[in-house]
Amino acid sequence: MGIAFAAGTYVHWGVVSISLTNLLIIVGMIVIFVLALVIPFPGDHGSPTDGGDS
Amino acid sequence: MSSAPTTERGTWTEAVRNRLSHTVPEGQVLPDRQPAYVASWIYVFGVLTLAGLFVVIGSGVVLSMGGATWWHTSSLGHFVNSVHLWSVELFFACMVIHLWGKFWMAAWRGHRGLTWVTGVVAFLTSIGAAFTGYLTQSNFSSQWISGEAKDGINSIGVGSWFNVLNPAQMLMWHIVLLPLGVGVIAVMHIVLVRRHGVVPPLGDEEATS
Repeated sequence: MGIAFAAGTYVHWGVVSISLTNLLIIVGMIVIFVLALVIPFPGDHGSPTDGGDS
Repeated sequence: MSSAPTTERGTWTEAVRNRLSHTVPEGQVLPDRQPAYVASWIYVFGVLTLAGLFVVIGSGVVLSMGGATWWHTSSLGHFVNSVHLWSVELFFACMVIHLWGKFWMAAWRGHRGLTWVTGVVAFLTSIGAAFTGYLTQSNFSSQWISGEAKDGINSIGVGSWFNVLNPAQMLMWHIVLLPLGVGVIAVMHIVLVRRHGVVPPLGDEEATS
């Protein structure tokens, strides 16, 4: 029983089998990715491109 | 007797100097200004990955002083080992988010194909470095992982050369060869980013080039 606990909880979806921990980490990374796209960057006042190094 | 010329002698030092000075446009090695589109959190994850790599290497250097079994017998060793582990976790998380961002903005545009490829190679080399790290934990976990891994490695015919059941060999790959590979490729990747600049948003190539 202890070994079963140590193995963790797994989520099964068809041929896919993933530990709940890894699934939550991936979901968390996707959430961070989306937040990085939508949250305004500090100091960004919508200034035009300064022609830096592109 | 004529004096020796000071320029245009065609020496290898001159060739290397010219090559280095033309690798990155003037002022772009460490720029203090960036295009407006860089002002987004999604552009932060590349440098977070680099910061993670510094902590990974730094904590790995400290671990190398105590040895692979240090963390079993010392609370300080355990702490440094944990710093090493969690910095690797953050390194990979930031690198994957960086990868997602660059994939969806098609960051290989504008002659940036080699930048993309070096990023891919850095990612794959990092996975190898992480996997050999699992083999150097010097516990039952590393023993079980190496027992499982040997079949896969043998199936591709390199088991006698890359023996995952040999902890000493895996330790050397983990602390010398693969970190060296990751470091060199990361430097190439960063130099290429500075050489070609940060990729502009899709559909904005004309306005920013």
